Amino acid sequence: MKREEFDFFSGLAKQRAGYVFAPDQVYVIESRLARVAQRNQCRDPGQLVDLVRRAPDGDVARDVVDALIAKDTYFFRHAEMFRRLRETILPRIQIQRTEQRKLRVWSAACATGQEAYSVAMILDQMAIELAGWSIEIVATDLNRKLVERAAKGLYNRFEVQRGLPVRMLLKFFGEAADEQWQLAERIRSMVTFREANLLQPATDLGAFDVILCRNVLGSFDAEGQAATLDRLAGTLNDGGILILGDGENIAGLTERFLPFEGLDGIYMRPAAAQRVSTPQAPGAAAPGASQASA
Amino acid sequence: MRCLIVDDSRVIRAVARKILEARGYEVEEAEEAGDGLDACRSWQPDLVLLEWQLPDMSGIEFVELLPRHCEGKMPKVVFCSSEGSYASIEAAVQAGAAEYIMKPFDSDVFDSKLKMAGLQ
Repeated sequence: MKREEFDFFSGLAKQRAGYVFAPDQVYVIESRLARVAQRNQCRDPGQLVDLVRRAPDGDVARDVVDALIAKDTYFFRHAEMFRRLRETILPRIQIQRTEQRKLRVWSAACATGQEAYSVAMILDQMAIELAGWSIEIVATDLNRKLVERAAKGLYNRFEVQRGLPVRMLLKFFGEAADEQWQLAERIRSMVTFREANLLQPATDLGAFDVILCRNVLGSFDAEGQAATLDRLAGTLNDGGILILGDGENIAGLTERFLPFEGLDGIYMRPAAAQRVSTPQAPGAAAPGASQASA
Repeated sequence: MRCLIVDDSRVIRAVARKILEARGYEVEEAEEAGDGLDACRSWQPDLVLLEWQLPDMSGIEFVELLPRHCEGKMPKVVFCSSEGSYASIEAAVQAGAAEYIMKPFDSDVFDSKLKMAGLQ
């Protein structure tokens, strides 16, 4: 891949999705675009550049952007975080929202939906504690095809075996055609999937008590990270919780959150009365290097 | 950690051995259930990786006979089979399997299952 072709594709990823590729990631772009190029009978990256330039808002351009954004995800990714969600975060939110009896969770950059459904399975296990509550999980991703796929709750053998204990497979899934497994309707109905871009305001999604935005900020530059965190803060209720990916942090990026009980990568949006300028510890602002969605 | 692979497929035994040894396991193999049960008595593995259907008995029968061949130390059993129906998996779990790996698998699945079974 020529330098100008790398610049074109990395520029497209930045403009459309906020993703930043380092100059030494030529091989990453080449491998991610190989199938798109093949599908469109492009013999070299230059032909793919031409196709995108000819129709910047067309299907090929969309396919290119989708391919540039990694989609690796699995059920209960970073199991320790889900344990904290179950044992610490959700009980706290339950107390905070006990009058409204309403709980809203946002899985941002949800890819194929395993994170959102993992939350749904946890909430289903809390059914007795949450009896009478209105529960809604909103899951969004820039990739329309993934969002449509995620809504079906269908996963292949490899997907249902990564992170998902066999007892949960038996409890929450049923067999489907072509050796696939499908989540039970009661779990699927807890999650609303929508196409949405983290670069744009999320005001139409409503306010949330918990936001999971894991393993995506690391793909943005510092400016994109700060702007995204600012938008996420704007959609969190007072006392709401933001969960980032393993190794990700907000140091030097925003002062709109407070650390939550000393847990790495977990932050709270303080209530209005608590909102004071809190100096952030100096340190590397960039979260983990992973560009995979949660 | 010791793992006994009980599977009549030489290919699967070789693939599983490679993955397990790379993760620091000592590995022994048995092609039939009878040999596997003898190995459980003499070698006392921490993990038995078990095929659903063996030449001399089913994996479920193997699990049921296992307590008679293990003195005190019961290994965890993880089924590893191309048999992937809901009913089969449910039967394996009810018999006492800690986890179930559906073939084909890759190293990510293998790692994930061993971790969930508390073996990594």
